[in-house]
Amino acid sequence: MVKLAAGILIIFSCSAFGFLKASEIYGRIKFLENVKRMFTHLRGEINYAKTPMMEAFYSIAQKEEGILKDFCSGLADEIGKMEGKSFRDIWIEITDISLTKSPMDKSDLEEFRAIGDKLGFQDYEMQLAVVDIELEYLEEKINNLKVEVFQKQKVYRALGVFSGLMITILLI
Amino acid sequence: MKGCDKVKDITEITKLFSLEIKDRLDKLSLEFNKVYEIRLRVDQPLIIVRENEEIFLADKGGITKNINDAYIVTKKELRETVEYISNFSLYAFEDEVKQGFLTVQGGHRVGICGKVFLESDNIKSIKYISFINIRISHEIKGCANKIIPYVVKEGAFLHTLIISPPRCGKTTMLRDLIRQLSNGSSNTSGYNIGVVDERSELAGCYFGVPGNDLGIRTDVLDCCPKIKGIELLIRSMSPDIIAVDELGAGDYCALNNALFSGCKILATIHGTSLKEIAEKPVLADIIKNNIFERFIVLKSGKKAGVVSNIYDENMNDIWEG
Repeated sequence: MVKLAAGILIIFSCSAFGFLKASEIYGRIKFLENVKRMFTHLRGEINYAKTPMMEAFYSIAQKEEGILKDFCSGLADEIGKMEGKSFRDIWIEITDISLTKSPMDKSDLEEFRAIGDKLGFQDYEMQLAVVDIELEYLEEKINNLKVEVFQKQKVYRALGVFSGLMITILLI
Repeated sequence: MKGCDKVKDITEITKLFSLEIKDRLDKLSLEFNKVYEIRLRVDQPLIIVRENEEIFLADKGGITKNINDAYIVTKKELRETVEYISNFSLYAFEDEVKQGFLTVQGGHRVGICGKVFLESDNIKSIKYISFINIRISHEIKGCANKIIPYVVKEGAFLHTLIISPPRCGKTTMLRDLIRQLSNGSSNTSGYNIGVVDERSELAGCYFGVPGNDLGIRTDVLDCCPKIKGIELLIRSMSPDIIAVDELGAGDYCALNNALFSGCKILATIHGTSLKEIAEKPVLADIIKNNIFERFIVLKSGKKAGVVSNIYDENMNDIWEG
């Protein structure tokens, strides 16, 4: 009886782990879509109102929620301090403070940190081009992840269930 | 001219520079009230122009008059300075950049030079900015006290032209005149004044909000060409006085528009004497037609804001300093 209960528990835990891994990818996609929305807002602020960075990020912070809201308002606060830090340093600092606990993986974070190199010193056309490239890149990345998730979620779920069964058989 | 009461916080100026330069400037016991300009050029010394001399930022800290000991500004520092001046948003100041300057918080004007890109003979943008001149805004309240009795007659303001060589305090004088006329005094009620601030120097507007005190009855059109601005002010704000800085030969029509509307004019012009202005084409007509009733000539010299002469509409000297 105890063996049976333990076996069911193992199968359940491994399956849950598989489902959890699959949902992580969904969470990552969702977050990247939010990041894309943030850049779309930034594009609008630059393109239609030529709003300076600080005001633009304060404005975007009003429209965002959670981690991205903290990121945008933190970035705007730090820009406003004008303590002699470069835009790149401010961007990286606030990314590390606000986004390390986000669903983005290591490669996403590295790419996000690198955006700081391209913002903050360009003229109108160049600045807009940088944001457009970022938007295109995010679009492509999200699409690829969506394709990938269909394949991976099945694998993760199946692996979870089968590894649970395997462990139970071996133990019994 | 007495000491300036504008630059109270030096960080307002030093925060515009790259960290390396900022740290050096912060350590200086420099009276920014007496500093007129700070000039940066790539691979050249950082020059500070103060009351009556030029000094260099020293390589080993402090200031020096010896060019060999001067701190040399690098390309990276200049680029960073441009970033800070524009608050990481150069794109937001594109129209100002096209004109070769932008105004920062506090009303200080930053002149820029670099590679100019043209589009159909018009300046499209300035890139590779390698020369910066930060002109520190000086607001000296009370510097126009002497002039006020000569420009107001029986409670009515007289059309006034301030004539001055560059860097002799004409904008500072104009600013204080505007402030005093706008606020009024115990003897006179204040005037509604419309200011066309083509180069953002008078009001020092930063995102539409004046950085300098121009009085309680003053409306400012920032970054607007005189001819369009005067038209717009007459139509929308019904000013008693229209104030403009640095008249040029092309502003004759704009002045006439203001005159037809019944507004009084308060303006400045580059020049060393009334005689010199009277000989310039177009401007000679303005003077011959007795448009202006008072001419205030500022003295050229090391000290800014010193009145040399005041003339009436017939060019008679009514006051001599």
